Amino acid sequence: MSSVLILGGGITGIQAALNLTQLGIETFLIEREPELGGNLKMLGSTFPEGKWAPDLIEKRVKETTSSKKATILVRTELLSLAGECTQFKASLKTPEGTREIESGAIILATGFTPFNPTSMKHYGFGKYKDVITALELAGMIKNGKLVRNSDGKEPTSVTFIQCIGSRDLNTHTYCSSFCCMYAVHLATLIKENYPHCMVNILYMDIRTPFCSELIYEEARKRGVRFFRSKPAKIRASGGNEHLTVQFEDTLDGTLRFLNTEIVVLSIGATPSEGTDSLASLLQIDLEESGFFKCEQAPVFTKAKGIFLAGAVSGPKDIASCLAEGSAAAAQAAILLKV
Amino acid sequence: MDLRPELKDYYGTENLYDCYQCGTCTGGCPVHRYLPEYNVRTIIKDILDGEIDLSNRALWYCTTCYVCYERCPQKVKPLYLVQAATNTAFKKGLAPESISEMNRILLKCGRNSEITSIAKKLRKTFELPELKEDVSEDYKKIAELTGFSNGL
Repeated sequence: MSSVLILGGGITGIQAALNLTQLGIETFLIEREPELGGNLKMLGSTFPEGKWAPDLIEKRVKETTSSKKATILVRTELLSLAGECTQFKASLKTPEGTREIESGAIILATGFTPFNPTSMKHYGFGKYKDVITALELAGMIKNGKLVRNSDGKEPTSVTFIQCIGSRDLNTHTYCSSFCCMYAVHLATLIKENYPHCMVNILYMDIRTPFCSELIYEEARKRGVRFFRSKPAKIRASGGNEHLTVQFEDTLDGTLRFLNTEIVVLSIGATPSEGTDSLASLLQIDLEESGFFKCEQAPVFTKAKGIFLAGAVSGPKDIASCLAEGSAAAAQAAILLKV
Repeated sequence: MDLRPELKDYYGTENLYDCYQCGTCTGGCPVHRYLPEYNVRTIIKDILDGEIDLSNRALWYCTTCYVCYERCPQKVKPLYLVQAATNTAFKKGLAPESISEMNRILLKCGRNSEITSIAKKLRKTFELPELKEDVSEDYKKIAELTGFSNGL
């Protein structure tokens, strides 16, 4: 029986590899970075239940590597692909040189790249040290050290701005779907660990569907303040250390100038770097958004034997990524056993 | 009144309903900061609801600085919507008197203020050439072709 090639060693690819090896199918998991874990490895506590990200990764990687069926190749990329379903021939670029492998099915789990907010000049990202991305904040909270970049002091106020790089015709029109959840989760964590810190969230619409509504409720109970607005500008004074967020509170129509010590940009997801070239290499269509096009939800593409899993077909939360990793593994297994 | 049918010619109606009332326009508006009665977001809302009050003086406070236009995440062109409202207000005779007066003076002498005897004297002191009292034929033609004679 032939093997399955998984592109992308984030949580989705790891989950697919784990499930395939559990089914006794030989698996190649390739990752272009030096380490497995993808975007998740930068996080600590994750929404909604506060599961610890490194644990989610380590547990699965350990189990996968303990199986003789799995080959994990880091710093490796796909160079070319020939053949067809059940008989693909993939050429991989590894640090040791080119390596050819045969595989019956391919799972694309290349995930997403976080949006880079440098282009949004009115928010001063890159110019003001205390305007940071939610990813940086998550890293600080993970390490238990929430401080201002400018002076290394613990902040007394933190303000989140939602929909950065999402729902905006100047950047990306789609909703990145997970930013509201991680923002209320991070806000709650700040309130928990730094009770005197004022936390504000500036949102256009809060999208916390199904049970995530409960973490939104929890954040409100803990005193996180919510303002309905997309801010117009962030100003800085005193050597760029005092930040003021200027916005219209659209619920009462007043103009507000909110002084805050840290501004957190809740960045969305963009197609993973290199998605274009991968799509043309595999001859799979992309959506208008730039993510891979799903022909039949959630894991099928128009090419037989090539499956999509996780954020490769659009922004997704961890639970959905795990589910799709398993779903793609199941479909690959069905294909190879028939 | 319902301005939506008029917007078609002026503006095209494609993006009109993309506005999600996020407040980026009003938040950055330099006029709103000092004159809160001028609120771009609520003007757009009223236009979309078909309930814009064209006699509202605040419509005329826009300085056309284009900040709302530049920052709008939905490319709704808020400034153009406000201009559509002021243009229609003018045509319907609902513009403030000062605006109609300015329009009259512009058509008459090509400037937004009339040439006073003081101005003439000052120009002489600084050895500046005399100003023409009436406008050229070309100016009149342009005013007619652009529709300025009938409105803004």
